[in-house]
Amino acid sequence: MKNKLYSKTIHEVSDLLKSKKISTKDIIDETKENIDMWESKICAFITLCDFSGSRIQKGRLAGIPFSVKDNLSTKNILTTVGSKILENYTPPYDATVVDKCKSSGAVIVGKTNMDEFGHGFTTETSAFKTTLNPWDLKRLPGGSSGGAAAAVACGMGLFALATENLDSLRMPAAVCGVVGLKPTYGRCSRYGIIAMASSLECPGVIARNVNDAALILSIIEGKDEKDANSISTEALDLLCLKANKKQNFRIGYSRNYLGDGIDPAVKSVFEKQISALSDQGFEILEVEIPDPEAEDFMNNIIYRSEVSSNLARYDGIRFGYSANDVKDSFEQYYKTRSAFSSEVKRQIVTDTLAVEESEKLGRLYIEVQKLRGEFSKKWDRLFKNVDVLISPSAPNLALPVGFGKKSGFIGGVVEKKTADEGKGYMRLQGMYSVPAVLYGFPAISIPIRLSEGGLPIGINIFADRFEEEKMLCLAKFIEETVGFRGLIS
Amino acid sequence: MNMFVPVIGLEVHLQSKTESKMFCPCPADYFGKEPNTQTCPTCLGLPGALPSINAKAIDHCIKLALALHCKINKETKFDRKNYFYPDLPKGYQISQYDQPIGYEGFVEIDIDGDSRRIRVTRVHQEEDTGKSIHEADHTLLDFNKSGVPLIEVVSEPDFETVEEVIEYSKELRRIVRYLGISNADMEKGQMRFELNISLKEAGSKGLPDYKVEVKNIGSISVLEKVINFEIERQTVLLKKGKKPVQETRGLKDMSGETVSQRFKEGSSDYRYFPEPDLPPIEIDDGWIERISEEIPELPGDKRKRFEKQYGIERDVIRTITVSRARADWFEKAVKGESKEVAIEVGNWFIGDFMKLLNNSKLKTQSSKLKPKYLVELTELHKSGKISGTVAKQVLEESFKTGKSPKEIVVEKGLEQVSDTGELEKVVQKVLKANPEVVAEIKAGKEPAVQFLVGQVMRETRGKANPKVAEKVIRNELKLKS
Repeated sequence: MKNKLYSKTIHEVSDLLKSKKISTKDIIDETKENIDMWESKICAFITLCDFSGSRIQKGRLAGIPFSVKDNLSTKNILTTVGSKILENYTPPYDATVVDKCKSSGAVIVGKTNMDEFGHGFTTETSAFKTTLNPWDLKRLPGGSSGGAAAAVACGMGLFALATENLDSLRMPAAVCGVVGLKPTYGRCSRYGIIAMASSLECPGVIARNVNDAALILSIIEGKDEKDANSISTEALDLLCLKANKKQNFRIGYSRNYLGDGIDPAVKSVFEKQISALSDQGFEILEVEIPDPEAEDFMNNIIYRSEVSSNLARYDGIRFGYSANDVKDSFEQYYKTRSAFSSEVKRQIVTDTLAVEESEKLGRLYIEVQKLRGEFSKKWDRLFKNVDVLISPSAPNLALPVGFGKKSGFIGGVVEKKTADEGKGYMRLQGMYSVPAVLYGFPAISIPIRLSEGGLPIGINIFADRFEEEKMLCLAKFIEETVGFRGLIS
Repeated sequence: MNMFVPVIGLEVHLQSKTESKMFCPCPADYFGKEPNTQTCPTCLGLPGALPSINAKAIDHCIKLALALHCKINKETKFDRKNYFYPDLPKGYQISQYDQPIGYEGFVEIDIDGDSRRIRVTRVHQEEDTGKSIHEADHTLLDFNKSGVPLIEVVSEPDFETVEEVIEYSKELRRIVRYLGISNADMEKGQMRFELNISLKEAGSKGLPDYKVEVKNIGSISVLEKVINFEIERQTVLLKKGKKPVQETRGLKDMSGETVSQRFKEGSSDYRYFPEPDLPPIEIDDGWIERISEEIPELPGDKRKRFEKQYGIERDVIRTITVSRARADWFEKAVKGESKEVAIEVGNWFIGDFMKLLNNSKLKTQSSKLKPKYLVELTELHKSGKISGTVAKQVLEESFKTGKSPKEIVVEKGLEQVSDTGELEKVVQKVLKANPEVVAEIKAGKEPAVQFLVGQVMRETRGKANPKVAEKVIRNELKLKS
């Protein structure tokens, strides 16, 4: 390996390509070699593509290798969503965000591992494998986008397309020491994301720094005729990041972010970062955040209602796993849908039962959606006083292998029987992640420093809808001041 | 013994005539296409595919709602109707639940000259399912139909007779065709029915305490048979003192006989909830106004106006106003003409002209005969320039060639001969050729004169004015005129 090109940023590699110092073959070949080295250790991919001979399209990402989370549809590439039920499913089309990257010249290296249907936070519910954290192979990469975050952390692709539903993109990015960017809901098309909770989830980017994440966002954003909820907005201004000028943002945070259950190392890093920002002249405001428990409840109802309906299409008739030897369509449904893992089955059953009786589903869902609107106004007021809010990205460091299996995580909330060690974690994690998904705020997680044991700790910045630029500017400023060194940098 | 009267409500499904499907760009004109060729990830319900709204279909639905005198929900939205069926690819149908596009309207129908209002509960937009083709030991699925825009019109249980249901269905079909939003071709499954039917004692108030639903009725004629079958079936049960079971029934065959269906459904089982993939739709006044302006005169109004303006008989009007194109054609003909002419033209229209059209399987608008030609023909006939027999020939000729009746009459020298001098020659020839008849007449058998008139007509190939011919004959034979 002469250049360690796989360890560079997209910007660096693009510059080298432009100045003809390297060829696209160099970056492709080096990435391939790097994958051969790392993948056997961390199992980040469900499917690896044979990308070495790829024809490279011209464009802003010409020759840039990237990975795609396995819940994003990829034309002619297996897309399993981490589930047995789709183990043989190859979509005939690309998700819009995938298509945009491909059309810009980027090359798919493979499909990254994830919790089955995104339902988990460790990759341990994947039907195929558990991904390990490249910083410590006894630990997990977070989830559900664990494969994506781990892949970027060790240079298996210069960026990853993933999705966020709750903290499923930012949290893995944080514990893998990379940048996780979740845009405003509607800024990027959801077309092609294998749906769990339609009104909560959206595509996002995992990259090695803020500039790269912003660049990819500028490529994948935009109104899409195929996604009725996508919104046309002014293009992201990448120049604002180049200006490199500190702006006088008012930064809010809540003391509640540091409540019971937080790892002392995370708490300390966060507090130090707050005081650093204050020293750097930012106005720091302690704010009162709207009722996190109520928000957790709303999120839960919306999530459950949508998931229960979105998973109805897996009937074994048109695609995916199909049970053989059935005598009628009911047996076909029964046997086919038995291929869901017990966790997902449990979720489908409890979701459906919880909301089935009479028309309660409709009504409860509608009431919650109304409440969501009311709460959203509280946040509008909050964002009049602050430009951005910051919180830790995750209350814990990377969790030990096996944690996800014993915690009984269901649909973003803690089941009653959940192990105590999970409780505080879930409550805090909900506080850091629920507002962004429930109200569609943009959010970014950036790595700040390593714990004593050498595990990455990040902070999470989020802003009002479509205020990506503010958020990214601050993220970039912090990134430069902390000088975090990535795993392979 | 008690008398029972039916209480009937009807749900009508109409496929909207749009280029693309309701939520994806696939062509909506799937009929007769190779199975599963008019599909895409969205209408196949592939993972990750999303719906996006076909605005034209919403226009159509608003248009029908307005035409049925409905109020419009300015805040409308789509909902998911969740159920499992192999031809329902997503496991839910995108439909509308509590905010249909139109609500509280009515359809006015004429039954033997009396008009009656059938209240319309709601008009909403949804998507069609795929098609299951059941064969001996397996079922084939064709998703070409999946996602075709479907408008559902739900009536109140206002029907009391089978005639009312049939007339309502036909009027609804006329209305959607006038609006141009659906061909409502039942042979292609573009208009389908679901029936709610129960019986109550004559004179009793309120609704019966049970309801039988019959699904998947594909034509008005089968609908009629089903209603008659159900009235009979339920009457027999009620007369025995048994209450018919509240249930969903299906068709046994096209005879109208129904059979109990194994699976029951109710709205509570559908777990309706708002479709999160689609934003709510705001239908503002501007939109409503734009659509209102596109609504043409509807069949009911047209019938009333034709009756008043042209004095034409109701049955003739019904034939003429069956389609907008036909009514427009007719109106092009009679515009500016007197009621008398209009009545005559009407008669020619539904008589000989319709016959010609039917025989050649043509529509009014595609026939070579121009509307004003019918007026010309009427005038030629009424003024005595041509006889009825010749008029029929001229119409046929004009229909075939597109030439004007006047032109044909001149060209072929068909003008009626009323000139006595000219006719005298022919009469003399006829008298000479029929001495026995002349003798009979002279012996007092006067009606035989008509035979001679007929001979004159034959000689002149219909051109002779029969009245003048008779006069000349009588003159020649010195009979009283």
